[in-house]
Amino acid sequence: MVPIADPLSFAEVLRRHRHAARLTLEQLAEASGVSARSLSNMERGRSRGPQHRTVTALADALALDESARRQLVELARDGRLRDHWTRPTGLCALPRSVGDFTGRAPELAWTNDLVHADASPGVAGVGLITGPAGLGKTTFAVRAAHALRPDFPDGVFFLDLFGMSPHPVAAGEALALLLRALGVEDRDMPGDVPDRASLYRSLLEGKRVLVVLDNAASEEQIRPLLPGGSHGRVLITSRRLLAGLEGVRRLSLGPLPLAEATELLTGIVGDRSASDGERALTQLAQVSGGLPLALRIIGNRLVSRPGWSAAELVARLANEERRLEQLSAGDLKIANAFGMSYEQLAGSARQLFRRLALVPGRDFDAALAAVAGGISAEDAWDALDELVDLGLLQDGASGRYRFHDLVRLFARDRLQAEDAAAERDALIETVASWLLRMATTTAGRWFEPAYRCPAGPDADLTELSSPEQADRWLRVNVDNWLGALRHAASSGLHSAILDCAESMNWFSDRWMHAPHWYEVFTLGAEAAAVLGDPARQAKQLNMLAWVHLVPRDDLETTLRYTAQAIDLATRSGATVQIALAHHHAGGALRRLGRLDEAIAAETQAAGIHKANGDMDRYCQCLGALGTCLRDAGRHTEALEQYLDLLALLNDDRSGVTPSVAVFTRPIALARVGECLGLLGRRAEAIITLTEATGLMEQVQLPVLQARSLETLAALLAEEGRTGESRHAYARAAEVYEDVGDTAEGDRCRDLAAASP
Amino acid sequence: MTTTENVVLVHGAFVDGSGWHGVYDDLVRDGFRVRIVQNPTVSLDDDVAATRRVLDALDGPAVLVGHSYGGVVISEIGTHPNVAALVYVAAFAPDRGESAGTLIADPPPGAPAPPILPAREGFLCLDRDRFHAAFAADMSARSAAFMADAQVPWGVGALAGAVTEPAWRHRPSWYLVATEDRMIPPPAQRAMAERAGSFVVEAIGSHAVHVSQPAAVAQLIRQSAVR
Repeated sequence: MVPIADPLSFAEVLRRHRHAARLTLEQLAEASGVSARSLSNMERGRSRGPQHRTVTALADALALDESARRQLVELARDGRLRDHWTRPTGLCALPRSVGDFTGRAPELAWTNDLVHADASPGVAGVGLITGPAGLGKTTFAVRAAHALRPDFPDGVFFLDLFGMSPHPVAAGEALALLLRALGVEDRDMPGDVPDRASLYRSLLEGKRVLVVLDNAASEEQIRPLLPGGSHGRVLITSRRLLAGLEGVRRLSLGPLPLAEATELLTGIVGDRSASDGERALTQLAQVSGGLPLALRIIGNRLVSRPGWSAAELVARLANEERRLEQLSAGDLKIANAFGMSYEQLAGSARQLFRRLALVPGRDFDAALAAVAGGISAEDAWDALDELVDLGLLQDGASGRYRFHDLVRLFARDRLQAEDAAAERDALIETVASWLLRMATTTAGRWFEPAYRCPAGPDADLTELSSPEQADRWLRVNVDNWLGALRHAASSGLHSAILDCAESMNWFSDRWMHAPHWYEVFTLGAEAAAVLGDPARQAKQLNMLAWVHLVPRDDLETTLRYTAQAIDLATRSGATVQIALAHHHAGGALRRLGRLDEAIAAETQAAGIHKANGDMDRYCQCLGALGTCLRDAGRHTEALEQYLDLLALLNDDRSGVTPSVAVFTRPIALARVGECLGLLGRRAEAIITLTEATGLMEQVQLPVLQARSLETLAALLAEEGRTGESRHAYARAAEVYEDVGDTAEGDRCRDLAAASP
Repeated sequence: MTTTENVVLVHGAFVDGSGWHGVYDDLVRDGFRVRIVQNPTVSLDDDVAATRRVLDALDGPAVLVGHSYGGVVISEIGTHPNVAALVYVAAFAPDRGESAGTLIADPPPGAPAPPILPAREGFLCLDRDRFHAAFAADMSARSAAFMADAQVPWGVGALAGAVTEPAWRHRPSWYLVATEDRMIPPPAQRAMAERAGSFVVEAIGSHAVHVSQPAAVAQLIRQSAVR
């Protein structure tokens, strides 16, 4: 076999074409209208996936033939797609500001005032930018945040709350995203909204940060996201006034004044402005009502489709407006702008545009677009490029596309008008089926031990070649596949729902604080009930017990689910599910202080797992049993349990999965140390805990490591080894601080200082 | 949650009710019943009476909206049983015994003086050459010139008319501050809004913000109509 050479990169191909054309960077910049700096970034591989319009401008300037042009376009797409897999998301980074931002000087002064005004204690300086759709609220807030960045050395965070979507981001989810951006790991994420909000406030205490909360839905959504304190500032955008929020300054954003609207339009059309003439552009700005969204769409329409002059467009828009005058003011101007671009699309792009309104989630990639359009991925790329060029779709640099809310409404409207109901229904089924099969067979099952690398998925599905890709697909598409799951529930597709819920069994543990597991497993349990399969229903009920035990911390509800699960699993002889239910119940009972019942439950679970030969779960139950005994004050018995567990973990023929043993061993060792300490055997305890904390550092269990260091420090102090004790407290503080938990860090520093 | 379906709009000095056209269109499209008072602005008593006649004729509660001097009118008549909420748009919100005249008598330092010409036969007018900059800087020169030439002279009796029992002490109130207003200084607007305990929204706009930004005014009125 001949080894395949590394394919050429976009950067190299571009440079070769430029050299072949004997152009300098400056000359190519001049000929293409792309800045020399951008070109240099592309040729050095710093910008690997430039936008489609940029690439076609370069191809034109280089006079490339059809195949060379095709190659360049495809390499740029690959670059955008690669970004898609590697770029970190969810870190609440402020988007780039648009290069041709125009006007809004008094509004920028207003935000500047807001930031610098003395906030009264307890009330952060919070500004709300409000106004109807299409006014450029988001663009303005992003611009303002960039301008204010130097005032916020501790960071500027941006979060889209999807206020106008049917499923806006819930407060808890928004907090999780912000906390992630602040460095909190998933495993340290508090379970409920009040705890997350208090961690959020404590992390931001005394920090100079600016938080931009874009497209807010409601007061309830926003309230927990206000940091309080006197240093943080918040900018909110919303179509609503959110009258229930106290201590907020509100600015009603208006349309752009005519002069600025004309300036923006002139900037967008670039060189064309000379031929179109100032007068026509001013008129065009006027019929756009000073709405930046309409101005952009009209401007892009002029640039991308040079057939019509600005004057002709003015006449068309004015006519249209007269015809529909009684309808509305702002929305109409925008719908007209959309209409002008829509009519210019090729039939296939027009069809794709309409059908994309059926995508259930907030955004989509080219693969999903191809499914919705019923076309090849290649054709989808072409049509998406065209839609982005015209401003009808927004293109994240990450290879995902989304509608502006108003454009989606327009697309939906066209779909209703132009496509038959039966066709629409069939399309909804196709999209939902594809999403469910993606989530179940190619993504979710990556994490299921019974499947691992999913073999032979349906030919129409996108291949995901690693657990990382599967993980990412499930996260970025969550509202898509969840939408498909809801659709399946409403159409009675019980088997597909249950398969999908079951495929999330292990993945849910990787993403335990995602807000939708309750819904997923409830749909799964209902589907299993309808299908008359008690064993699979028990499994879903156990998942619901887990949801309430771990992420939600609702112990009574956990016990209700485990009771149902035990009942159903017993009837169907599903011993694994019986044991899992006992184990979840044991966890809840222990935390409720019902220790005898907890010990009984864990003992039962351990017995079943051992009989089944499931050593990993058996170890889990032994550990839990030890904890129950310790809590009950039965320290000697607890020590025995932990020593038994440790012996199993150290025996490589015990049947315990090696990777599980590696993580469980330091925990077991720390528990042995704690029990020794409780039994007064301090010297042995100190040796054991020292070893345990070292192992925890190796396998990266920082929170457990910090807790064990505290235990160790207390024991050292009791032994009179004060220097070592102080050192251990200080080390615990460092570990807490490394994971961003400054409150715990401070507490340990105080303990270090207080030790004699 | 119920919505007050009637809206009554009271214009201020130097203009008539036609300036409410944009706000009217916006609200009517949402199903509100909107009435515009053509108050003569000769004396406060007359303007209060004109507004009372409109309120009396309503079948239910209304949001009562005043622009500029119209704020004095709604402060006086706003305790009418058919008034559910008050909305001030770059307006005076006088306390007991205060009038538009006393509120402009002592401008904040540095505030631009409105170009009001000396009274002739008991009426005040704005200098037409300075009308655009002072009253309607965010509108086109053509529209502003028309407003200047069509201006309604303001009776000194209306200017002096004092409020007896301010309605904002008895009704929930909402206030739109026009940040670029060169007739009523924005700091004075903010102070009156704060004194009245109003819910405040700001708009980057001239004194004629109800003409130049009808959407912002309508949005605030809609919000005040929800309870």
